[in-house]
Amino acid sequence: MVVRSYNDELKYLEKINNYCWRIKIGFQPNMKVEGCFYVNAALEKLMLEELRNACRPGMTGGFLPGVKQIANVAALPGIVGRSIGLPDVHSGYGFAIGNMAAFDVNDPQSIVSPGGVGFDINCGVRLLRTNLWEKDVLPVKEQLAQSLFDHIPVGVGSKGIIPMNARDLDEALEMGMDWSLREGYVWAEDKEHCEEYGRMLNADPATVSMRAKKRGLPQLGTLGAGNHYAEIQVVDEIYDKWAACKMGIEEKGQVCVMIHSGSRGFGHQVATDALVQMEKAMKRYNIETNDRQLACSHINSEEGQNYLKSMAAAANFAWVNRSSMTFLSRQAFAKQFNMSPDDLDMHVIYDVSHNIAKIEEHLVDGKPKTLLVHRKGSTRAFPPGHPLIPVDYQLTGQPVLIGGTMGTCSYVLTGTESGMEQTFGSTCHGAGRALSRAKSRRNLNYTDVLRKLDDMGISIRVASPKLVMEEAPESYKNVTDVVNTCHAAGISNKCIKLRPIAVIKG
Amino acid sequence: MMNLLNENLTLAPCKYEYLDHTADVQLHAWGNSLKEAFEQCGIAMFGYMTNLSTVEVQAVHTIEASGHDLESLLFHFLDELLFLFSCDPFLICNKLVISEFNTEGEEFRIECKCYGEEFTLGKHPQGTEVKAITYSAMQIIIEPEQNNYEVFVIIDI
Amino acid sequence: MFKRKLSALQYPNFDAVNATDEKQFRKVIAWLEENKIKKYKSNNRPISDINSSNWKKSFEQYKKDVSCPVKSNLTIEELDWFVNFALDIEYLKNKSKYDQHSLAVLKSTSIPNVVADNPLDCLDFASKDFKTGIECIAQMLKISPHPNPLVTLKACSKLICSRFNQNAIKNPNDYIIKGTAFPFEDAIKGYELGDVVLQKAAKCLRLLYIQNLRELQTQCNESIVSVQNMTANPKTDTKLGKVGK
Repeated sequence: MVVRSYNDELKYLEKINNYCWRIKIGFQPNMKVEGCFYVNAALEKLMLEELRNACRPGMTGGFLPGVKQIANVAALPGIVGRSIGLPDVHSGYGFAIGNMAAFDVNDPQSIVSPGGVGFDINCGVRLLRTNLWEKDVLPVKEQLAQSLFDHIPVGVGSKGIIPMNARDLDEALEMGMDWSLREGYVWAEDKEHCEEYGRMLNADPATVSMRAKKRGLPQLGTLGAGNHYAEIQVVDEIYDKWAACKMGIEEKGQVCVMIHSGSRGFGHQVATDALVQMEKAMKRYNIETNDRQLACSHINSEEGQNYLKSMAAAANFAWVNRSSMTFLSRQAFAKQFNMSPDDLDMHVIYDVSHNIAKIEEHLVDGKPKTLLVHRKGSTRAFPPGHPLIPVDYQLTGQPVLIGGTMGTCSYVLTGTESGMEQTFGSTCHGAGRALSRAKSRRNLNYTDVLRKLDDMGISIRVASPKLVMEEAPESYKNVTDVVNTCHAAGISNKCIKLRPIAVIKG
Repeated sequence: MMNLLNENLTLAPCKYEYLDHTADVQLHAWGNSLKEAFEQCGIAMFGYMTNLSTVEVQAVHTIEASGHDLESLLFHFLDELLFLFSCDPFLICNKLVISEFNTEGEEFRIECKCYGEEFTLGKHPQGTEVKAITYSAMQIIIEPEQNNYEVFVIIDI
Repeated sequence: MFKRKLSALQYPNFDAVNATDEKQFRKVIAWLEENKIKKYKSNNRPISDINSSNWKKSFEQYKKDVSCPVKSNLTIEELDWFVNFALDIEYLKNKSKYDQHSLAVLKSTSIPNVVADNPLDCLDFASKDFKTGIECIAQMLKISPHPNPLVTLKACSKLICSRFNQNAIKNPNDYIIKGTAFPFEDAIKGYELGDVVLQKAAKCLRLLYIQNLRELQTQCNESIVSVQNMTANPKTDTKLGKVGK
């Protein structure tokens, strides 16, 4: 790695406009294309601070700063366009979290990298609407929060309550949400409002290790821990009346349910297995990368194809998982209000994945190209009229769900034509960590955090007390900064702001 | 679990700590031998998932792990332990005894006895979920002269 | 592709034509002009001289004279255009002969001629009476009439069937579309066509297309639901895992 002083490093960075910086070729060795990242003034400070810290002599942390990681991704074989950092970018394993990169499928050198997807394959967000209003829910908020907590298994070591055997699992891996539909856990309309219609067709359970399946089976239908949550939210602001209307959101005060979860131990094991395979493959195919963590293989190699097939199976697992929790949430609401989920109008508004790699068609220099698009901590945001978005959103653009953190707001954005040109139809995914977990625990006090949440009128049910500090809003980048940057840069439009009133966490 | 009666169930002293890291956590474990540092590192991981003082030794399971170098041996050792916890027998351990520790030849090998019990909600407080073991910034320090052995591992949480 | 067409034109040796060979290309063009297209007088056909060094120039002039819009030079598309042009001339020359075999004629002769006793079948759609009658109905239904009264009739029928059927009259609220109209002229972006009318038309087409898609998606959902009626059996078993505290 090149060692330069902070001031020398800055020579490779250029501010293009108020929201976007260019990373010039040469910042890291072998860059095939330029990099860029989207930040506003507040986020820019965090980004450069991270780089400055890494330039201090004697720094040997685990991860490179995000901006270096974006540049290392720009050095991967077959990359097209730019390696892009979204406003919530922070350093992660191999790829930064909040990094997207596209590779030309027809270039035999192009690679696929499990580090470009992340350990939690198809981690994503689902939003359900209801026809309830804040005033209907407030008197029973505590009971409702408890009811959700009683229905959804959360936290370390929790097990799913939907009966499944190994054969069911294999079918679910292949069928994704179609499995949930067949078994009657979800509604036909749910599938329609789900990225990829809740099923990746190239999934092949035969490419998945026994180990992953064993880890996955007991965890199907569990929320998980860490930053995953189920929240009862209230519409706080509507920026785009017509787009909101298309989503069935009429007025401020309407109650929604947001579920943020992924493929659990199944996806983690698929990713771990693939990384071990790719380490070997890299030696065999002589693939050079700047960072050992960027383990990868050619898209068309056996390892590459196996990963894409098993990743698709993990993606299907995640959709079944979120569908199972949709079912459990509907049950919880139905019991509390003594009404059927149908009468509560508990429709899925949309379901996005923010850790995934997909084959997509894009225009590169005016020519159509088939690309393998890696989105890690980045959400697809397709514009109005795109054939891959549901018919109900053809005029508004794809809904993009941005989950906040415990106690902060969440947002619904919509995809734009400009985002299609700038970022291959990608935008941010959430807040992104700013403080380390240990620092959060040291700096924040358990009862303080709880009191603050209580002051904001947020009920909380959490399995692990230390998570309360680790996941406190202070530990994260400000999600409003992140979303405003995406809006100002034109890569997605603000549509709805949601405010939590009850949180269920691992 | 008859055989448990004849075993030494004294818990090892704590020789590990958790280091700061942006999105994840770094385990730092040490000991008077590399074997001990590995055992301590395994316990450190379990200690992140629950409060180990609530764990009683009621079962023992044996795991095996192999690797082509020390780093991959440590990686697979921890991966096996994580697997032991993640599905049947859902074992949470407070004591690890490595009975075979072969770090020579083509294939390095570990055989380890894992003492603990099935993770039970209500009995064991829920800590943080470990998603995966990573190679990132993995360090294995061997200083026989100072009788100092240390390992550093980042786990993805 | 054009072998069948050339055979229909009775081109000699049509099976052996290779359009990428320039010599053969010239030959076919010359033959088409001499025997079918006949744009020029028979004593003044520069493109008949297929070995001339000026042939390409003559061909360009020829293209202009027959107003061939294909730009590319000496390609299959060009040849195809000339073959089609020749076929057109051939067809128009013997239109009555070919029309005897058209589907419409074949159908009408194979269907026995039934004398209609339904007075509606005897309506003269072209008559002025019919036209004013339809316009009158349309006015009552508040439908703006189309120049073709049959189209107006179709619109009237659609409205009557969907809104004046028995169920709709009994429970009108189930059939009246509620909510605010979508401001499609402002809300649909990305149609900068320069012409206001064209832009509006394009947006309307887009809406119609989306409506079609919606119907298709609804049918898909209905089929899923009918399958679910047979397969669905959702269940939970709280003994498997512990929830809540």
